[in-house]
Amino acid sequence: MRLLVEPRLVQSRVVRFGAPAAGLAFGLLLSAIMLELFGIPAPAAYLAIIESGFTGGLFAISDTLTVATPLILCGLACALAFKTRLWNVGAEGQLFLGAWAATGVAIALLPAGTPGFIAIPCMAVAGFLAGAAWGAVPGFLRARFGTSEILTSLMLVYVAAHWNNYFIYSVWSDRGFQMTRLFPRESWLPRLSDLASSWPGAAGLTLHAGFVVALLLAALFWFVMFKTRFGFEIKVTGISERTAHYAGMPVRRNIVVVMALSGGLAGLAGMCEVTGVVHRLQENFSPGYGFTAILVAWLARLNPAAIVLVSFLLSGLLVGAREIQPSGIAMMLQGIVLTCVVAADFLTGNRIRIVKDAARTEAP
Amino acid sequence: MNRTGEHQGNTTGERREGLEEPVSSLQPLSFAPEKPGSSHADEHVSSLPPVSLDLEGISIEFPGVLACDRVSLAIRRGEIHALVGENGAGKSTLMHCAAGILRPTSGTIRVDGTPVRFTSPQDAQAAGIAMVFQNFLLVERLSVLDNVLLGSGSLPPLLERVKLAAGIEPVCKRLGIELDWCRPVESLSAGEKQKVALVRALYRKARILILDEPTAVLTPDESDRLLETMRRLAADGVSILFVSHKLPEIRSVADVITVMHRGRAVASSLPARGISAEAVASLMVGGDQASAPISAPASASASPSQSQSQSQSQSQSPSQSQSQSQSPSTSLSTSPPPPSSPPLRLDSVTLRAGGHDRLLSLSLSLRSGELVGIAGVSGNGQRELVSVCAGIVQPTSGSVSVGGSDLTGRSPRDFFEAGLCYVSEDRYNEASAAQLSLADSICLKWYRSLRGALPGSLDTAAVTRTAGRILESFNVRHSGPAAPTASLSGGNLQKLILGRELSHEPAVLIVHQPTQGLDLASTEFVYQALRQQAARGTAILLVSSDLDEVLALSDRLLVMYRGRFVGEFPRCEFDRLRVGSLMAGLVGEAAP
Repeated sequence: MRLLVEPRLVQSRVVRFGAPAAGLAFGLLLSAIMLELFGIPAPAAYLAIIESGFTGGLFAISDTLTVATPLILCGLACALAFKTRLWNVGAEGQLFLGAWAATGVAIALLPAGTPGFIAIPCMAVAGFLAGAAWGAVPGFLRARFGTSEILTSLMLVYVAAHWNNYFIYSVWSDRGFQMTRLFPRESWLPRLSDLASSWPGAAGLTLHAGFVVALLLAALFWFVMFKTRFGFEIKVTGISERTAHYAGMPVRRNIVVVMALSGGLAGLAGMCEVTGVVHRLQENFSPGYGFTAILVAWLARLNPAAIVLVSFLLSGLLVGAREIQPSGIAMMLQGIVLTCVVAADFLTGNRIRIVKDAARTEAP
Repeated sequence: MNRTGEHQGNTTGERREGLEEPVSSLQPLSFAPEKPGSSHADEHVSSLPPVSLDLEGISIEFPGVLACDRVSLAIRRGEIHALVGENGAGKSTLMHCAAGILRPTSGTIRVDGTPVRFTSPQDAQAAGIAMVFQNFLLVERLSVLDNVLLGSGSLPPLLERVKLAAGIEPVCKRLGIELDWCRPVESLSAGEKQKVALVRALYRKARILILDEPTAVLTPDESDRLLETMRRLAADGVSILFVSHKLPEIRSVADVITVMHRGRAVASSLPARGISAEAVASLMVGGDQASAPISAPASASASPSQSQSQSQSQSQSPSQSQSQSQSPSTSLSTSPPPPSSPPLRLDSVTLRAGGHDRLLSLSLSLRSGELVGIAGVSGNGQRELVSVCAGIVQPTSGSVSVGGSDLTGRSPRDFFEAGLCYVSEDRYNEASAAQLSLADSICLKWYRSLRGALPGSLDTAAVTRTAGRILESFNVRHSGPAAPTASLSGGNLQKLILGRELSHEPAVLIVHQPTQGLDLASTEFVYQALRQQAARGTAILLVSSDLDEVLALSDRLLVMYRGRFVGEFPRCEFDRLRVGSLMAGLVGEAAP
């Protein structure tokens, strides 16, 4: 008896959604075993995660959506590139550079007291452009010399991290600490807690305006992908560059443009993180959003609505698992669950058949 | 040519239904009565070496196609046996069958007189048969030695490469081959790779070698050395079956020649030295029909199973073409006085790619309403030619102009906007993409003009409308415009592509292998569409390795061989035999 793996010719709806769900269930089961091994009662831990990540009232939802914001933006960034079959795995680096540029505008460029309606758009544009530049480099290398964008975009993540560190440690260091000073209050993104004066219930809610921007961009992403000529070119290029070239599409130019737009979206995520959440630039302000977003985009099958949903669920898991000690547990849970879901993805494209050896000899 | 022996021989003249073949069918020729050297007579001559591989009555059927029809072929020990025929004649299918890759539908294979049944290439290998493929099937990253050892079955658990290399040394000595064992295969030239493939085959103790167009990717110098190696091997008792389109090399190396045409062996084991290259060429392109002027109507009656419309159309055009009393005025070039600028013009176009000259100083000019055919065995630069004509590939030198404006170096979009449409040979990967929906496949050449209200937007309703209109007017059988392009049959996809291009009313239309793999009805549809379009004044460049197609449709015909135009014929001078000779590289002998 042996196992035979063969591609599925038809992907039914049941399989498309059932396989990831089964992977999720298996991941949770595996995680439960791990938790029990650490001496943590798994059912209680899961309840705690659901409580503090999803059902624990406004605070839980607000925290979850705050974490979901950079995931949505980076997820869109990855999805745009992946649609074109460009493997931009450097969203993390583009996010860093976006955060850096926004920081520079906030604390070094604009004079103190610049009103928010000027400062925030300036930071957004700077963040977008810096991320776009960081994404365009691998795009250009790929279009011009055929360099693998996987390697170049990934390597540029480390360049970006060190670039930021240089500024954090020396140029913009706040009295020698490894962080910049706080941004001026005017350049913070509006938050729900700002409404506390008129709505006391909002006090302490950290959700910021970046989330709305992320949702709007998800809608724009959908429009561009499905309703514009550029989106059509992207789709054809992703399916077959040869066909796109044959149809007279500017394939090389589009590769650079897509990588730049992708980097720009990730840069915007970085800008939102520093101006909406931490209000300063510091090391490790991102727990790998740019990398997690690769999985988000993949699991969402590059669909913008699904990216929002997947980001939300994943963020709830991340936020909820924070409550469990020791602190590394959250990352472990995330790792196990995502690994299982992605592994189950294999089953949507392939099926496994058990073949008895007797059947083999019968075959002609 | 032998016309009296037409109905003799080992196969009958009956045709099978469902064949995707035009009507001008051939009866197999038997040379047995006249030529003492042919296969039947051979059996009784004791001095000849024994038959090592004997294929008898091999038929191989694919759904709807009979690729080989009762082909018999015998290879003697130490013989170099050339297998020739046009593209699609069934040569590759037959070789794959002998190498255990395909199983014959019927027929017997004997190795050294013992009937064998191969269920895998390993079985064939065990019987001493090895095939060297055109692309060699080597693992690029592995060293030469590892490639030779690969798959040879019984390797010791410890790979002592020095010892193993010593075991291969005699094989190489025999061949007069020197190889650096440690080099990775990816760093070798095509000629060296081929040597590795040969050594690998012989290391596996192959006594029968099957070579698929062994010189196709070699430089002339490398080709000469390969032919020398082949002679050595044969002298050593290895039997070689090789496919080639190049008659000069066949005549220089082969002992006997088998010619295939449309799935049949029209001549078996002709002595290579006893027959003229022109005779072989004529057999390749259509047997005795070639020696006489094209005479399709006679053969049309021989195939009652063919569809009515097909036989009519097929028989009309060739007869039109060859009857010289009907002067060129009957052709479609009764166009208005030629405009000052030709719709498509190539001026000494040269293309170098991958270190080889693909196109050599080609010049060509099309007139409105003229259908120019390019004949040639595929792989002689046709793909490069159409790519350059459509702006897909930039020529190394020379110029391309469409409608009088020089578009050299411009994008395919500029070519399209100048009125040039192109139907690529690769329907599923270039002219459309398998994963696109039908509407998207049509939209490929329409999306720029279907603008929506917002800037940059696409009028998706108009996309669906346009797609529906083209699907309907070109009679594409489909399951909705949202269905994937992969769901269409080749014929229906070709209708879609042709419809998409023709809906632009192009000034120039380039079609490459327009009916390859298509069934009769679709083929006829394509022919009619091309004729109509030419009548409407479109200049058409038809590039095809199907000689019948080119002869039937073209107003003017050029022959391509190794990146050059080696002959040009106006319609009134079409000569199947001369075209066939030129296609096979007999430039000096056949061209005046």
